[in-house]
This record gives sequence, C-alpha cells and structure tokens, in this order.
Amino acid sequence: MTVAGRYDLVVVGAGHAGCEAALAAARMGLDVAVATLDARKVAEMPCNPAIGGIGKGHLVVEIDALGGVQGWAADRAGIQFRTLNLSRGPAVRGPRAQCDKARYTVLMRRLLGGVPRIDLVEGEVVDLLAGDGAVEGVVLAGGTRIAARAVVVTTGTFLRGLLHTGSDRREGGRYGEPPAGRLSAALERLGLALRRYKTGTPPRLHRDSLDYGAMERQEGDPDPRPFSWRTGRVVNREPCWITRTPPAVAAVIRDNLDRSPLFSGVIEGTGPRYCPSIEDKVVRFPHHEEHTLFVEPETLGGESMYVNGLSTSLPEDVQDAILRRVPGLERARVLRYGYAVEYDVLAPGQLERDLAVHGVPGLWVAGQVVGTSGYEEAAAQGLVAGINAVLRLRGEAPWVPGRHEGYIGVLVDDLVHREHTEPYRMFTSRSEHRLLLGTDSARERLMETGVRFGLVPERVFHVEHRRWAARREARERLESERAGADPEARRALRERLGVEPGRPVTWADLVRRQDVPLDAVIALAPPLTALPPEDREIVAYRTRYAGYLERARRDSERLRRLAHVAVPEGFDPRGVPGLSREVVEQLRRYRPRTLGEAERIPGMTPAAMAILAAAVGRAGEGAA
Amino acid sequence: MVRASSSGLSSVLAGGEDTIVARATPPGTGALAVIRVSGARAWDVVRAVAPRWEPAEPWRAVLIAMDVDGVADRAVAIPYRQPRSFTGEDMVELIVHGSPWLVERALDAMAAAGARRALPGEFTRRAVANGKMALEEAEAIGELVRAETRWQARAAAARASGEGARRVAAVRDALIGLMASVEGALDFADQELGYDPASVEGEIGSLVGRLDAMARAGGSPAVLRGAVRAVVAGPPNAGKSSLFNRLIESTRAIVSPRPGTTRDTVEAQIALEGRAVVLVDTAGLGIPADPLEAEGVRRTAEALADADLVLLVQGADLPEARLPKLPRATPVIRVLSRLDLAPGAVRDGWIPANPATGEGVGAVREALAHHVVRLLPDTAGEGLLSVRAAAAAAKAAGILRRAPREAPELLAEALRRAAAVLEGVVAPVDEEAVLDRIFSTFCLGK
Ligand SMILES: Nc1nc2c(ncn2[C@@H]2O[C@H](COP(=O)(O)OP(=O)(O)O)[C@@H](O)[C@H]2O)c(=O)[nH]1
Ligand SMILES: [Mg+2]
Repeated sequence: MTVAGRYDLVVVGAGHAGCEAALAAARMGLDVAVATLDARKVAEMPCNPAIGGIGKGHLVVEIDALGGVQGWAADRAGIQFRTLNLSRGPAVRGPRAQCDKARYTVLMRRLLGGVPRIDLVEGEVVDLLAGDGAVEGVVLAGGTRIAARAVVVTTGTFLRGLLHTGSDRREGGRYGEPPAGRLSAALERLGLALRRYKTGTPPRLHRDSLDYGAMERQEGDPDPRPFSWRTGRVVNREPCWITRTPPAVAAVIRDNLDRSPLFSGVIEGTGPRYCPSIEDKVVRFPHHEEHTLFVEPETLGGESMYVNGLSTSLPEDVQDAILRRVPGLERARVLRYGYAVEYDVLAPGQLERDLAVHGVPGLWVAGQVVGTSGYEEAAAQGLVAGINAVLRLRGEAPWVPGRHEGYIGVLVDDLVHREHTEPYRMFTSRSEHRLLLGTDSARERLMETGVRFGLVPERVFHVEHRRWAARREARERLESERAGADPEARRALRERLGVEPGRPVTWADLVRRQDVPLDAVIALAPPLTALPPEDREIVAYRTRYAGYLERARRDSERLRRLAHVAVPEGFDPRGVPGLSREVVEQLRRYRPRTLGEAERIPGMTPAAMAILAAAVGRAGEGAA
Repeated sequence: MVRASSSGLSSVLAGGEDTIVARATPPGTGALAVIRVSGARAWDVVRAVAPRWEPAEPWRAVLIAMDVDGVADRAVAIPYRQPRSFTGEDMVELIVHGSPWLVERALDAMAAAGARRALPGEFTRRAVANGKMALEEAEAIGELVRAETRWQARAAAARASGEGARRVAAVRDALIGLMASVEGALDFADQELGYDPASVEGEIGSLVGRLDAMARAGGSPAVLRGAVRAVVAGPPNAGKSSLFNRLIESTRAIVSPRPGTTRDTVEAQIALEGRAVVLVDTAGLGIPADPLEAEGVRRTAEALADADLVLLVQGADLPEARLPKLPRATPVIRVLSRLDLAPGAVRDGWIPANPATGEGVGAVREALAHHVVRLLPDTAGEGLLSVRAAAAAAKAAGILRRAPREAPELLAEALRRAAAVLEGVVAPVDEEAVLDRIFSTFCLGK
C-alpha cells in the first residue's frame, strides 16, 4: 500500500468550495493536498457560466472582504458585468459577472499551483481513514493513502451522481465525468445520513448557429464595477442575448411529458424550486404563454452558448423540437444536450457551527454536498471550513460568522440549524438584517477578520480604513453644511434640482427629499463630489436611509443579545418539563449553543422558547 | 426573518405520545364526575378500572362495570377513535359517580397502568398540536369554560367555532402574499419579476382593511370584557348609592343622609338580558370638602373614564352636577331623584325616580337593559377576537399605514415588522413561508 504523503489537511474535490478551503488553509500555514478526479477540472462551472447575482453577489463580495479568491477570479474571467437591482438601494444590489469559464478554471488552477503548500493529487477518494473515531486521512482508488490531520469533503454533485436525459441514465458527477460512489458509502459507514437532491442544466448551442437578429441584446453596465479589492478595473467584452419560448414550445413539452424522467418518476431527488426545468415551468404555470431565455457565452468568443432558462432532462429529440420553435434558436446546433443530475447530500442536522461534521472529529464538509446550490454558496462554505480546520488544528476557538455580520453568517447558520428540503440558495430575504448587509458595507463588516486570519494584507485594510473615515466625514459634512449658501449656489439648486430654498437647508435635507432626484444632489453636493465616485452614492444612501438604518441596527442589537445567551455544554432538553417530545428531539438533533440558534430550529415555538430560556437560566445558575 | 420574540403566546406545545388522564369536572363532591383519558393507550388504560370492558364501537356510550380499589360501581364510558376526538387522539370519557375518593382512586389506578396525570390545559394543547383547532379557538375554549353569562358563553362559543381563526388565517395569507410580491421583486429582479407599485398599494390597502376589521372584531371594551361597566355618578346625596343598592337588590353600598358617605368606588355584578353588567357606585361629582373626598372624586373620574355607560343621578333639589368630558360616545342614562323634595321639577329626557323608596327604579332598570343589549349585541360573538389579537392587528395596521413607499426594501422592512407584531396571533411568517409563496405564485428560474 502506497502512502502519498502526510499533510495537515486533505481537501476532497477542487471545485469552488475546495479551492477556497485549500487556499485559505495553505495561506494560514497548513500543508494541503487537494484530491480531485481530474486535475484539469478545477473550479468548473457546469451550470450557468456566471458568478454573483442578488444574494449570491453579496456572498462573493463578503468572501473577497475575508480574503477569499472567487471575486478576484470572476473579475478577471468576467465577460459582462451587471449589477442587478441597480435602481434600488445598496442593500439589495447584487453584482453579477458573466464569466469565461475556461479562463476561470485556468486562473484558479494557476492560483493553486502558485501556492507551494498545496499539492494537487489526481484520484478518486474512496474512503476516509478513521482511527479512534477521528478522521486521519483518505484512501484513493487503487489503495494509495494520504494521511492528514483533517479532511474537508467538497465533492459537489459527484456523490452517487446520476445523469438523466430522457430515459437515458448514466452514472456521472458531471457531463462526461465519472461519479464518486464509494465515498458516499464511506460517509454512511461513519453513521452519516444522506439524501438525494437534483439539479439540471440546459443545452449548449453552437455560437455560429444562432440568429442574433431575432434576439434582444443585453449589454453590461455602462460603468462596470469589480467584486474584489484586488481589482482596479473591469471591462465588458461581450453581450448576452434574450429570447422567449413561444406557446408552441409549451405544447411540445406537454405532448412529451411522459418522456421526462422528472415526471415519469425516474428522478427521485428534490430539485430547487427557484431553478425549475422548462418542463416544470410549463406544467406549473400553464397560463404563461412565454418563458424568458438568456443566451450567454460560456467563453469569450468561444463556440459554446448557454441557454439560461431552458434547463431540461427531456430526451434529445424533444430538446431539438423545442429549440426549433424558439426565435433565434431555430437552426441551433446542439453541442451538448441538457441533462439533470441526481446526487447525494448530507441530510441537515449533522453539522457543527464551524461546518465540521458532528461526531466525526477531523471531518469538515462544504459546498453542494452540504445541500446548497451555486458556486458562491459553495465558495463561502469552503472558506469557512478551511479557516476552521486551521483553527481547530491550532487549538483555537472556531470562527462562526454571525447572521448580523453577513450573508456568509446567514448561510452557515441556516445550514447548521435549519431544515432544508431542496438545494439551498441564498436570497436577501433570508436575512433579517438585510438593510445592514449591502455589498457596500461588506469590507467594513468583514475585512478586519480577513486580516486577523492573515488572508488580507494589513496595508489593504489601512487603505480601506481611510476610505471609511472619509465616508463618515462626508456624511457629517452633509448634515452640517448649508446648501445654497450664496446666490450662485441657490441658482444651481433652482436650475439643477428644481429646489427653491425658502429657509436654510443642509445637503442632508436635500438628499432625504423624495422630490429631488438623488443623482442630481450627488453631482452637486461638495461633500459628495469630494469623494471617489463609487463612494458618493454609498454616502448618499446612508444619509437618506439614516433613520431606517438606525432602527435596523437597534433590532440587530436586540437579536444579538438573544444570540449571546449560551445554552450550557451538555444541556439535556429531555429533563425539561413542558417541552414536547418533538421539540426535545429537534433540540437534541440541532444542539443549539445559544438561545438565538435555538430560535432558528424548525418546530421551535415561542412557548417552547420561553420554557427553554427558563431552563437554560436555571442550568446556568446551577453551574455557577 | 421574522424573529421578534413574541410574548404571551399561549403554549402550543406539540402533543407527546404518552397517554394522559385527568378529571374534567370541577373538584369536590357532585352527582357525577367526568374523567378524560387521551393518548395511544387510552382504551387500555381504562381497563385498569373496568377490567371486563371490551371497547368495541367508538363514539357510542356504554354502561360499564367498574372496580376501583375493590369497590364495585357502574359508569358510562364513551370511547373515541383518533382522529375523530377532541384531542385528535384515541380518547375515553368516563362518567362516574362524583365521589372525590372514587375519582382519585380511579385516576391513581389508571396512572399505575401507564397513564400520566395531565397538566392544566394539556388536552386543549394536544388538540391544537394535532390540528384539531387553531390557537384562537383554544383560547376561546378557555374563555368558554370561564364564561359566567349566557352572552359570554355564546361569544366564546362563536370564537371557538373557528370564525376568529379563519379571519386570522386570512390576514396571514394576505400578509404572505404581500411579502411575496415585495420580496420576490427584490430577490428576482433579474427574472423580470415586476414590482408594480399600484398593485402592491392595492394589496397593502386590502391587508390594512383586513387588519382593521380584525382590530374591530376585538370589539368595544364592553365586548372584549364580555360585560358592561355602568358607572353611577351625580352630586353627593343624590341617591346614587340607594339606586345602586336597588339595582343590585342588596345593600352593598352604605346609604346615609351625610353627603360624601361613599368614598371608594363599589362594584357589583348583575345579569340583565343574559348579559353581565358591572355596576360601579362612586363618591360623586362636586367640589371636594376634604382630602379624603378629593381622593373619592379622583376615583370617580377614573371610573368614568372606563365606563361603557353612565347612570347620572341628579337630585332635583340639589346643585347641578357637571359630568366630565366622557371618552367615546358613552351613553348616559339620566335619572332625576328627590322629586318629592322639589315637586314639579320634572325634566324632559330624565327618568323620575325615588331611589330611597324604589319608585321609578323599574324604569331605570329597563333603560339600563336597553343599553346593555346594544353594547353587547347578539352578533358581537361572531369572529370575536381576543384583546391581544385585536391589539396586535391594530398595531400591524398602523405599521403598514406608515410604511415607507419610497423603496421596496424599506417597505419590506415594515412588512417584516408587521409580521413580527402579528406573531403569536397568526402562525409565524418566516422567510420559508414567503419563499414558498414566491415559488408557487411566480414562474421563476433561469
Ligand atoms: N326624599 C328623598 N330622599 C332620598 C332620595 N334618594 C335618596 N334619598 C336619601 O338621601 C340620602 C343620601 O342618599 P345616598 O344614596 O347615600 O346618596 P349618594 O350620596 O348619592 O350616594 C339618604 O338618606 C337617602 O335615603 C329621594 O329620591 N327622595
Ligand atoms: Mg353614596
């Protein structure tokens, strides 16, 4: 039996979660082996070739503030940059970048290759080495062992992966790639419960076979902004295209539903409702005449075009029939047909707060295998798992991002404490602190943590710090400086803002007036024009929404206090009179550490919370 | 998302699997007592006191032979098969002779056979947990048990029938729909999911309308209390205490020719037309002569502020008393007393009466009954909500009225706060509930 070496950490899988985990751990000083089936396929984008979006873009910016790499790579591989919800306030704006997926892979491979502490090992991990209940490494197919003090499993959709196109069914983790079935069995041997999830992809079409005249052109933002503090400037290189499925498509689908594995019952896994297949959409919304499709380049100038919105597992001839009826796609040459993939994920309720697997010391999980969907959710977990594996090996306290600190905290808390019944995706509606968690404040919230872990250089933090100080100063000036102090300035107000200042007003007064266009005030107010362009709007919105933000901060404080009431270690809810059996079971399953966590557990009622709080109070007194 | 910790929510703990037993009728000696058993082993457990009973048919009362601690007796047993029972579980109701000793020994025997003594309210909690009734209904059943007048019992029964619960459910539904519109527009802006301010405004309007109706269904203070507070006021010596005693048909209040005899307010409850009336006798209106009297006058003012109805007693021979400004449209029954001391002083709209002799008191009682029926109408029981539910609805309606419309993300915050206020009245509206609605309403998915 060969031993490939001894490492501090083995990361199983080199997807978006695996890359962040490996890079964070290595940069924090660990020797890391990344075991992957195919060393060329690093950080692939098997689904939509884009990073970001509403909620997801928030995650990317937070990962970046913490020193992760996803935003950096997306900036460089980006083809088209668009901020969603641009017409709304900063809290809900979601940056998104259409990416050249080939370039993204190259960038990420180079990044891994450039870190001496990381070794990329090709092979299928078939088992975990477990000694004394703790994980001590992995076993590759063929028997090679890699010893390690900790393991992070980030296997995406590969565990018992099963691909469906019509009745055609083959094992595989992604198109053309084998699955990893034996690792599932290994996890089950450790006593872990798995469940089946499903996701799907649309067909890929040849660029030259599409009629762009029949589609609507979708451009990137005129003033594209990067995700990362490492990036100076980004540019839009290619547009995307929009078309719609006509009613005839719905008819084709309805006629062939019996041939869809989704409807014939062949697929057992649960798919995400926010990303349904076209056959799902047609069945569930029969009154919708049209369904919008976005045609997106997979690589810059490359031949493959991704048909966002046409995810399907219908047989190939039906996919052809659909395409023939869609404006612009009538003569499309299919490079790859759409397919659905079913895979194993960890059932909820088996994670520690730092994404370690409960009851299996030394084992962490991150990414789609945890039950999430999306590259961003995966990367965020990879970062959290990587950092925490390091902290645990150093004997330090875990890092658990709070819900109030960012979507990364919302993500971890939800995954650890809540039930999910479909692939979990981030939405801004998942945060009770939404107004405070805009991408504009991500660095203020998280960069210091990135510095603490050595993932963000201190000088970068200092530059940012000065920037925040300048924003605060501008905000104070807006509140104190009078607008229209002299006749010249008053004329500007009248002509450019349509404001006749009867009594003295400050710039902040004008910023808060709903009848005055915000853009115009931003362009006119000296406290704002003195700032770099990207900060002007941020300060303007913080001024305009000051009252709401203040209230949000107070609410956040209140929730945080609850979050800090600790449930004592080893607290046994079975001894608490008045708690129902269901609640007791949920408490034992999710093991909340604080009352804040307990409140998030499914099935917790306010009454049960009251009983629990009283019991925790008594337990605390007993211990003291 | 909605994470305001709510207070005062009646416990809706889910039911356990164990079998519970308790006496359902009040403690003490009575002709009969009812013992209730609920849970998977309910039928079995009863055999600890009726060894020969073979429960055959559910929902049919049978005479059974009991053996309790060697004492043979007979009882009526009604077995229920889940889910068609009060709690939704298997149940038995045992009607036994009401000897406290017999009941206690029977409960002991069933406990020994594996049942657990039920905690107060546990049967109802199980009914709620098993979806047999909504929380509002459960609260109403609590009130039904405590009802003292026919009107209160009817109002509680109407609530227990689920009308209030349906109203509450409709509010929750509308709230989720509204949140789905706004949250959906925020989270799925890239999918052409529109945010139509006009239609959202319409949804807000209809939700506010529902909440207002809910707040009103909480009814007037009289309706919420289930009783009319009638305060007797007037100048000292007008005969207020005399009238009070006549109306309650007892001599609770001290009557004397000395002005200012009544210092504290005195209350007594009577029933009129099947409705509860709390009569409140007061010190009276006028210029206080000493600090003690001043305190009496202050309490009078307090009692008047809380009154659903005022009985103004004016002595025909006494200086005119001025009523303070009354809140709302408080009805006033005017009684002119002491006409024997000032003959010919009759006034329009005043009921002539001599509280000392009882003359004219019948007419006063009639006027009182007339107003009480108006204040506690027969229809008030329909969809009646608890004070808490009504107050929460009023608060939520206020939040929505003032909700900022300038940006959907700010409006969304207000909606979340409204949902938090309603938590405990409606089932919690969390982000999963909203996402469920978004996914079922809008066609999403790139
Ligand atoms: N002659 C006469 N005496 C009355 C009448 N009503 C009450 N009184 C007497 O007036 C005195 C004061 O009555 P009371 O009920 O204590 O008056 P209060 O101060 O308003 O509570 C008592 O002696 C009563 O008997 C009435 O209509 N005629
Ligand atoms: Mg008196």
